[in-house]
Amino acid sequence: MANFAKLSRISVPSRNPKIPVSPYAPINLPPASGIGKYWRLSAKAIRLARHGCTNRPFYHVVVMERRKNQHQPVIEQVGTYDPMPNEHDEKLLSFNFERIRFWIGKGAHISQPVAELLGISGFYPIHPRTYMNAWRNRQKAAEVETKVTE
Amino acid sequence: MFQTIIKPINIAVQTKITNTLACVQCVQYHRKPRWFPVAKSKMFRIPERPKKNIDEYNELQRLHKNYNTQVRLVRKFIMNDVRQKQEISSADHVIVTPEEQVADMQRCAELNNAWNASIAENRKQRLEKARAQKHREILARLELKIRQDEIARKAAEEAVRLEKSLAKTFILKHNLDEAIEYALANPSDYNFCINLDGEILHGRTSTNNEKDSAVTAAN
Repeated sequence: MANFAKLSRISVPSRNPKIPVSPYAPINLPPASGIGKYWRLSAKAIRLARHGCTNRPFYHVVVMERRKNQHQPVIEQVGTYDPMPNEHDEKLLSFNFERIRFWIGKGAHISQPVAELLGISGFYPIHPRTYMNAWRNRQKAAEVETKVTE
Repeated sequence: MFQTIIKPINIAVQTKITNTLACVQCVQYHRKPRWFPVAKSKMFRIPERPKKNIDEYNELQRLHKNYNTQVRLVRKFIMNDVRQKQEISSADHVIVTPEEQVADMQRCAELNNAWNASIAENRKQRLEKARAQKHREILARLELKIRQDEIARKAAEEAVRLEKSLAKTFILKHNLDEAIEYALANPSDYNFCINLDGEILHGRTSTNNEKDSAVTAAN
């Protein structure tokens, strides 16, 4: 087994020296594996937590207590969202629908960006904002076209 | 006060100054701090209200109404579904009869024993191999040690022989006076010079110049 602790650029304190620490692990971010503590009856939310770095957003779709900051430990990660189009002009999105169902069943709230994404992915009704963006984009495109023709 | 935090003018402005030498322009790289009062030039400015498109607004209202209704229904449906599934599922309370438990235990034990046996066989082979390897390594090390000892012994003998041969010329207590007398009787002078023919001419004080020059000439 590779000893990641030796390779790491910055010494990452590990409670158990036998567990290797990846050199690419985020240093200031808690793990996405869901170590967040929560009350049984507290308000949870399914929402985006911004990972990535400067000028390169990347989001985890997470379940957290609604009052908590996005960089605190999460209850569970239920998806990912990459808002920057890749080489095939796709924005990659993944959801764990089973767990999302479970958490909605438990009464978790859903933030607007996640609701939009869920609407596009067919799990939820389409969000009005999606329609609005679409028609505004169409208007803009039409305006550009008329300008070009003139 | 505000001037103190204005950063140096940028390159574009600098070039402009060198060109015209007239207009000096300061570029701010930051926003107005929150605690600064409204600028005098902005004091009576009325910001333009965003235009509201009534049709779009109505359409959005309609869509939102529909959306909220649908979402409420979907959520209710999912909540009911999850609750029902929890009620009928046996995920957190598995019912097992004692006979089933014993049979399961038996099966687990058999699997475990088979696995243990195979691992023991592997371990035996591995340890055998390791032992043979270790034996070879030790033999090789012993041989190397014998060879190294032999080399060291030879070196020591050589050193002793050399010392013995040198010991014949040592000056000791019993021949010290003799050596001193000899040295006084035969002083040697190492100062010399060379002429253009390469002849060595020995010192100013020594008595055996002829002998030494004869020796160098022979060499």
